[in-house]
Amino acid sequence: MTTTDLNRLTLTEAAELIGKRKLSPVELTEACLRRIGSLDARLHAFITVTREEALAGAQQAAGAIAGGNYKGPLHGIPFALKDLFDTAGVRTTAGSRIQADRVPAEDATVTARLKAAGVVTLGKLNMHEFAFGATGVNPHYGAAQNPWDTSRVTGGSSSGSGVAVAAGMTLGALGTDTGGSIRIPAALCGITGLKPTFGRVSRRGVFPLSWALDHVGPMARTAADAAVILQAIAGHDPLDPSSSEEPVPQYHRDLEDPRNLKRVRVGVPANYFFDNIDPEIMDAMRAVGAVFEGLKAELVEVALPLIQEAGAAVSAIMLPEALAIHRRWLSERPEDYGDDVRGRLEMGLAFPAVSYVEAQRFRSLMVQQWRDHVFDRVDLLLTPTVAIPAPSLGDGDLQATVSLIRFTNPFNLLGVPAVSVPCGFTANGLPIGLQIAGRWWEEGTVLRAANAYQHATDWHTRTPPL
Amino acid sequence: MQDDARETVRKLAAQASLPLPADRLDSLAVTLPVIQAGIAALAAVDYGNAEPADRFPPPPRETPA
Repeated sequence: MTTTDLNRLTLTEAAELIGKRKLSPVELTEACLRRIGSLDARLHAFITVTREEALAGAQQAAGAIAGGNYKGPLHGIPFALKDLFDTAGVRTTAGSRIQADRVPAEDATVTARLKAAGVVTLGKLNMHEFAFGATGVNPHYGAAQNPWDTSRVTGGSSSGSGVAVAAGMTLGALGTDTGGSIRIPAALCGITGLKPTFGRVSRRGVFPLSWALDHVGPMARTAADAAVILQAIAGHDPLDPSSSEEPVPQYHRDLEDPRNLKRVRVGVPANYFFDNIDPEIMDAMRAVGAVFEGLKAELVEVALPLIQEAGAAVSAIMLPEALAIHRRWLSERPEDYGDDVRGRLEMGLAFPAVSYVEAQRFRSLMVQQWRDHVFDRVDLLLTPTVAIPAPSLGDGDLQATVSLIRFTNPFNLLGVPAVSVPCGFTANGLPIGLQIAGRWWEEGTVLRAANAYQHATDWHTRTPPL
Repeated sequence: MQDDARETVRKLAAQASLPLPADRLDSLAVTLPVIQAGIAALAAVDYGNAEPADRFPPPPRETPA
């Protein structure tokens, strides 16, 4: 198998070969490291590459598997983490100058769970500073560049995760999502990214942006890959009070029959999600509807209550919480922040306490109304992930951010699972993302639909022209 | 109006014990109308008896299948 072939394998394809001892984790890891070495100076996907640790981990995995101790589908799989997840002994910067030299003593819970599942850690991925932005432009570690067009942004904040998966540098990655930070780079880089239900995945050892809205989730090439990663990281963490005790299902069971979605009611929004969107994205969404009809899903137009004010509620929660987290540093060393992040933090000053409480009441009301009037009628909802294709790196941060987050952040407020999968390309060759959202705790249904869509289309198999 | 906005953000920053230099006050004053529009939108919602959100979303048994 050539290096190019190895860099195009999905995680599940690689896992099958490794499990059957037809592919060595060492060979696969070396291919990823070569890919990183040849592309990363241009794309800025990584902040830290842990080459020696990766090679040692791959050797260890190879030895264990040869000895009959195969742990499962992540064993020996090269993997990378957004630089927001604590990694014992490896610096974790949060994409910031302020934490540039921070070396955690312990792994985040999800880091530990992935290591226990046998992943080979390639390093730490670039991101928007402190996860507080949607473009992935980072003044301290370089702007991550979109592999489909390096003059374009990757989306963020999990920018390096989007680039590294799309460019074949890693087979999977972790991201975080407070207003769309997994799904936006997934859409703009042409990969699959899942924000699970709030509370499904531990956040212990993950630097916060907003306690009420932060989620951890997988980024990979396919829904099946994302399911494998989610299986490893989901579940209660007694050390994280925001982690739920809801039992974790076996997600692979939801992926067993990708040929049809009979008896699945798929909602098409009657309001908000098709307002002011790029015409090519509108065309792609029309084609998506036809694919789901072909899969025998029942398409239902559904009105979405309170959606218009959801963005205001997200801002009234996220900005004051972020300011509370950063208040001391903002006071003592404000010049160490990038201009855009410093400005967003300062915006938190403008929200009175009553607005924060109203936003939390709004969240409660929206959850009730969507439970009673949306998810009583449909099992899933289809929307564009973002309203525009990837903006140019030179576009203004504020305008780009507003356009990028408005379709993703309502689902952070609701706490429901939502995945972005590739669903087409613009005439300029930029990826378009489809967002599939489902009921609370039903990641399996969301992944089932995403998997069926990917069996019926080939958008997720396209690779960037690097 | 811009002077009013600047004075408003200066007071807000002082109340939060986070005084800002002049250039930062100017930047924040520019964004203030957008923030205030969002605050007004939230103030206009009829919340009924809704209390602030619980930490966790509804459990599966409370979600219609």
